[in-house]
Amino acid sequence: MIQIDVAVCDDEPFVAKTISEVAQKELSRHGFQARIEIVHDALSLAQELKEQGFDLMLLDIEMPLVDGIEFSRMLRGKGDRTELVFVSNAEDRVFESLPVRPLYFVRKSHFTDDMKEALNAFAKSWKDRKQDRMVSFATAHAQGTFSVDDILYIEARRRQKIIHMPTGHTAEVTATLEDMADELAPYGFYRVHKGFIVNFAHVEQMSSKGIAIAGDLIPISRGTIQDIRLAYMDFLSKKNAVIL
Amino acid sequence: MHEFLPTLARSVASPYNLSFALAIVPMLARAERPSFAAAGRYAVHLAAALAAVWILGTVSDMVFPNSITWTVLPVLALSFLIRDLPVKVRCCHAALFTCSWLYSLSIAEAANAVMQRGIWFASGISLVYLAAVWLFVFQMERHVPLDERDVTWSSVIPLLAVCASGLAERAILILRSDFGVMPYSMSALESILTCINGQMADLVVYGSTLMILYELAGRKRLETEQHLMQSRLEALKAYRESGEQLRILRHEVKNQYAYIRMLLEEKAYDRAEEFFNEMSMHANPTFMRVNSGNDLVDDIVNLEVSKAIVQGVEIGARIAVPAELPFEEIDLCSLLMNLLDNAVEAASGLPAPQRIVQLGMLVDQGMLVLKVENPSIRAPRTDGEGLFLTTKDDASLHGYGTRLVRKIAAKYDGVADFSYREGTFTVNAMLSMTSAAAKKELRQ
Repeated sequence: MIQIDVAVCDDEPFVAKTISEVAQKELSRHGFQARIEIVHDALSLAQELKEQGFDLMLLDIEMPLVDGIEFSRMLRGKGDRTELVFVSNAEDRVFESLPVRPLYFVRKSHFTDDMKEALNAFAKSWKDRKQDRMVSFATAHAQGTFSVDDILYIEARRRQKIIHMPTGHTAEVTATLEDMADELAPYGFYRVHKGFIVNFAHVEQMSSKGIAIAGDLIPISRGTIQDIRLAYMDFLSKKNAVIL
Repeated sequence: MHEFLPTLARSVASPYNLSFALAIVPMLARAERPSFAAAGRYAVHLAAALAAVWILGTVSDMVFPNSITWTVLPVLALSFLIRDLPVKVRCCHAALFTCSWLYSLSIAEAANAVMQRGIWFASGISLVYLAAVWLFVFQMERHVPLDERDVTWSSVIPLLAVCASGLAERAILILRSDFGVMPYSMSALESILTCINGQMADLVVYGSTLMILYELAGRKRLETEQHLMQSRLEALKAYRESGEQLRILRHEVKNQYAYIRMLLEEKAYDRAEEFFNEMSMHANPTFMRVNSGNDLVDDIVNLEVSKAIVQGVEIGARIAVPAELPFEEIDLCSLLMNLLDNAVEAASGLPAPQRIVQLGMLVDQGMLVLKVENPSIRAPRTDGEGLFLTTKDDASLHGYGTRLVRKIAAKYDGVADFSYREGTFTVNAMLSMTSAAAKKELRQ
């Protein structure tokens, strides 16, 4: 049994209790022993957070004073990466909730089924998080290690191979683009052009003009544009398996 | 009669006639996968072709010696006998074959004149030549629906005209050279070049005709689709108006609740009860089934949900899209309605517990991505381009939905993918928000 800390926040005491019972049961099916803290408003939860961290929070959206999405925004603003699940009737606010990257959105109208899915998603993400997301490539003098999430895209300029990272950082490597493309493929990277490998997770826009990543426009090969689009669609579908 | 039999015997012995028969059958018969049955049919056709060319060739040799009738007559007879293909296609093939056959003869003879390898060699060349022509024609026709409905006589006239002119040229050349009406000489090179020129003209004209027919068929299909969508859009508009009424009603009810609450807080129970009794409970709005915050999407999906309920199908929808989407209304509408209509139709044929269609839709990283899943007993058929055809009864509607979905996705720099696995048919589609926003700006 893996020990985890879970917070349930709902202003209806009866609902909060039901959520915590169902969560307890579903989590134990996935091999988790959950310590559940029940609170009835976001401010109490904030208070609670000063004392302990949580692995998972199940939040109502429409609550008095501070609503669930607002609270999560503040949380994310502070760099907190706790997994969030919204449990709410406010289905029209699903889209609004996306920027705080909730793991799942449980509709109270489909409570039982959605809770099951939500906790499946939690178990999966717990497993994924344990995985190593580092790669290493040969550089001119030594072996360079990179976190795959920090790679925006890789560019080949004649002989040079340049890894572009956030905030304008770059690194030069000597590995071939073919080898890097193969190694990075499982992490959602795709060779979109003879001279470019792109991390789909950082794509902001994609159109016939090219791919926009961190203000740069990356060209795409005309011939394989259909394959690139299919791969990107596949990536987005997997990333958003909650909805799709 | 004493002339007929020896002529017939010569005709039977001629390898040219064998080449002729071997080559004309594939031209007039429908192409089939190799099988015993197909081989049987081919043999029957071959026998007919041999009989026709021997007998009619002999007759024409006796009546009109040294003319092209010995080719034209058997072709005409066989195009009446072998009725596999629609009549206009048969005419085209017969005309093409007749010209190609005469060209092949001239080329074979010219080649033989240079190489001196005998009549069997020459007829071999002619057979190879015709096989090449057949392959070419077969390739050109692969993607063109040469259905009777789509082809008019006016569209085959250009080919018939160019073939007729080629035949006239051959007829005159053969008459002239054999009778020696006028001093006539032509080098082997000249002869071959003339033939190739004529052959090219025939094939190019036929190719262009096919291309035009293909384009026309595509355009007609799209027109039908758009027409269909227009009527659906009308239905949606009507539905949205009724939805608007519901919204107003809901607002009214909300006000009524507020009033009752106020009365209760003031402990004016008598007036509250009075008001409550007065209030018609029928005024309760039916709650909308999908509420994503995007009115257009909600209206489309709710309309589909209510249509699906009539067919006993449940639509499970998970939607996370912003209140405004940059796509043209008719495109979004066509896309969703097509996908859901097809999915619901497929699901409605199944036993009750399986009749569930799943719709997922969201905007992420500059893309609108959507997925529609439905259970389906059998895999849908695919057409030549890998498009899934619907199982609809109306043949003229086959595959329209998928074609339209692909077209809309392509319009917004996106893509659509149709797949069938383990009893579930899945459509994934992606449309670029960036491209849609750029298009919207252009429109304004």
